[in-house]
Amino acid sequence: MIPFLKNSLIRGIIRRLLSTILTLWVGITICFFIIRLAPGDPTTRFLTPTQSTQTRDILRTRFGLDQPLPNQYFHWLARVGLHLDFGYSFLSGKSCASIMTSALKPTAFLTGTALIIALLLGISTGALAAINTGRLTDRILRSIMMVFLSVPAFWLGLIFIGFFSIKLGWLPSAQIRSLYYDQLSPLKQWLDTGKHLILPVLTLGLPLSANIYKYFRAEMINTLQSDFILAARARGINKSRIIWQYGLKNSLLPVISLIGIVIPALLSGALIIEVLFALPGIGRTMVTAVFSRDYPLIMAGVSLSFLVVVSCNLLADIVCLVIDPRAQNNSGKII
Amino acid sequence: MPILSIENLSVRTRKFKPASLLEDISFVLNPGETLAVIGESGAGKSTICRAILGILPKSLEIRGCMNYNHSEIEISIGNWDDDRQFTPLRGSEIALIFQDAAGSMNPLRKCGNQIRDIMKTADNHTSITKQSILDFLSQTGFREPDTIYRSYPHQLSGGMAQHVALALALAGQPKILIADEPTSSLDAISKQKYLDRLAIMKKKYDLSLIFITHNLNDALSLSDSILVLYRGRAVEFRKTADLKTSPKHPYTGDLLNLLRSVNQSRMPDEMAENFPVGGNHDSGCPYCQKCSRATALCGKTFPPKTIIEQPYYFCCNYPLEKK
Amino acid sequence: MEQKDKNRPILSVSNLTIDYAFYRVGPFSAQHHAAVENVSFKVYPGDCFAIVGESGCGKTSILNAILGFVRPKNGAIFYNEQNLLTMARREFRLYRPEIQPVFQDFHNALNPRFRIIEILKESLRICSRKDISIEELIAVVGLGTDILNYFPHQLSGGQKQRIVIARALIPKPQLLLLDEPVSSLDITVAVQIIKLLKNLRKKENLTFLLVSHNLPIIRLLANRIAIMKNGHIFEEKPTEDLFETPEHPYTRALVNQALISCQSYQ
Repeated sequence: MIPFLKNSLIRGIIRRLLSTILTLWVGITICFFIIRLAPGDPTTRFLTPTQSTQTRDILRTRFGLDQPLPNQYFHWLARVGLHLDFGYSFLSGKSCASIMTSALKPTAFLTGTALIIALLLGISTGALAAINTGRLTDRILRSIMMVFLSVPAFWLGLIFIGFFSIKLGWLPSAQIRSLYYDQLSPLKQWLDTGKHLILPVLTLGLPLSANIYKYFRAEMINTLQSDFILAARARGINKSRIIWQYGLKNSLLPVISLIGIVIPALLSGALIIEVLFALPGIGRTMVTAVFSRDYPLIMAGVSLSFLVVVSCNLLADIVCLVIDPRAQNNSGKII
Repeated sequence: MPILSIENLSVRTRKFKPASLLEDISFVLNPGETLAVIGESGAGKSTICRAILGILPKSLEIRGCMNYNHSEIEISIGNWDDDRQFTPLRGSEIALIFQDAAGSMNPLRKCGNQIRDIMKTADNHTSITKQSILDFLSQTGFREPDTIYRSYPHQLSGGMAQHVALALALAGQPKILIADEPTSSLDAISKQKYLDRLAIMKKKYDLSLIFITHNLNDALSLSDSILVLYRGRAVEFRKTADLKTSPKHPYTGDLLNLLRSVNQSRMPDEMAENFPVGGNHDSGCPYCQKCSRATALCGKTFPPKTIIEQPYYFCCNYPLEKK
Repeated sequence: MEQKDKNRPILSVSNLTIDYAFYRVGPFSAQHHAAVENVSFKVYPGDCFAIVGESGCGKTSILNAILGFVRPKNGAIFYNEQNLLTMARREFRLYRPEIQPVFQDFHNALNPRFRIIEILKESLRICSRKDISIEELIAVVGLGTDILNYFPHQLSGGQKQRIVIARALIPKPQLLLLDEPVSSLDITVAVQIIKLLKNLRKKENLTFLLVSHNLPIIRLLANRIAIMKNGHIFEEKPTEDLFETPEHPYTRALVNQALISCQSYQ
């Protein structure tokens, strides 16, 4: 056997990787057939009532829709699997890959920033609340977070637009860049994009941060009540060290796997936000693609989000494996 | 002069219906001696040791007086809510070993690093080398200090975890060691090993020991004096030798009779099988419902301390006579 | 019911091997760890057979195998000369009431949202026993009727254990499997439970298979003791023989330890 395979950690990771690929394939396959079986036909978009069914047949042949479903599937799978070629969009004729890459940038920026903000905000407020359980700080934080937890994201977005864009006029309400974007200096271009993203990121990030706050507060209270914290106190370790090194660090571990779970929610949340703020991201592209039954584009988008979700979960698991000494070797007591 | 003395320690809950966890406990610990605290589960044994280190939840109301004297240091604590008073005591003067040894260690830190944490605290944050930790581990009787240093708590077997917990407690070089049921989860043979190690360490580091247990055999064979708790009350505090020969409180007497017959492998005689459910034991003697000598008086007020010879006492209206 | 033959074992375990698979990270490869290896013993009607060993030696796994909770890798378990391991699921269900367990963790054995009376009524209904009232049942385990209206958390450990034993008696078992029945109880309560078990065994004509790590207490109850370590049974003898002539070094160490600790107060 190859020597490094003896390491249980690496073997575990490889095993996870293989099962991830399997999950990915099963998921994408299910999506492929469900979309095809759904009613609707991509060709209806191109037809006017006066055109004959012959035109439709020509279009169907052109798109490869005349072939039986399994053939279409294997054809698509072979192209994607062997050449990573997702084909061309029925609607625009551009290659799906290029559409996706251009749509990926705003979405990645939006979700990434929202996630980071949600994590920073959620963990810090959660920790603060856990340390001061029952005191004024805890109660104030709880009522603020309760608001973000209970309002729907799109409503929050509308309120933000109404207040910051319309009433105060501080921030733009739609699009990712201004009309005069091209005339700006590179630094100004960055600032311009940033300015456009503040409201969407907040709309996406604040409800998420409330979720993370709630989870982390409970987790940290749990940790702070455990025996080893009490023992650390009894051993004279000072309070700040107990909170940072013992309390916070030990509660962060479950948050990593939470990130893996949160990413899909974040992506579907981004869909609403992109529609609301008219951002040219994956969510909006997908919505249009689904309504027009643009199969190649749908499949490209689905594959992409599948890949992101599955790999985030995988990454979270691997990070947990690497960080948590208990996860690696459960069976043998070494002494 | 005792190294630690506790006077009239009471712990109550602060809820709208106050319940008493400990009531009027007094005892002293002489330097170099072992004090055993015995009692049923729920009698308040663990509450005592947590109160001494000030790590009881803030929601409890603690009253009483504690005096810690060691050489020049003299700390007396009347205000139990003040965390700062306990800070100098914890780890470097009084150390506590928990019942669940592995659970009392940080699961994400190697044992070596946890020992370093405590050494640093005790030595006022000087840097501690790995070698000094390894030396310390071999001094505390580990044959493979390096393995211990590298391992995480979950990798230790139950017995080994207890030994490491002992080392963690000793790392701050305390004068008093409180062991809260350290052997209850160990099997007979590892328990003996642990107790032997504890005795060696006690001698080596010149410790005074508070040994909390519900195993009477251990208590009798290890200790110099014994505090008997029953439902939050100290019913008897005696020298072990005296307690063995002439228990005064009927509860102690019953306990010893029972132990004798179990040790001699014969079924004990009939005992009272009366189980009071709930009820208020705050006023009277908590043992009065099971006691063969109890009268109406016992149910009304808790009997006052009868001091035999300072500081030893028992609390009973109708004590047992010497056989 | 036919007369039980004293010479025929009620339970006979032969060459039992149980191993557990540890799934480390993924579901694909497993590591095996033998909890019990090649264990054989026989329990005769009316016996109180005790398996004594340190925690993790495989005692509880044997009980789980008898109850059908784990599937052994090898070996056979005969109950009244019927192999429990090879019989059909439906047939096995017929034997279920005859073998009743009393688990170690009696704090969690009772539904916390049920009153004691409801817990017992439920069992009586399931076993469709009409010949015994709850009051009689409670009296069998030495409790008063006042206890029936309490919730489990209001009872002491000893009381809970008595309720658990009472519940185990409802299906009229032949064999009671007791997993550490007294290990988490204080000595005063433990002795009472031991007494209760001893009386029950006589009165109800029961057979016990008992698992424990506390040799001195078990000595009061068991008439045969098997010493177990690391999945093997080293020695199996009548109780008094074991204390007088322990053969295996481990048994000797255990017995010595028990005797020494008993010398603290004679």
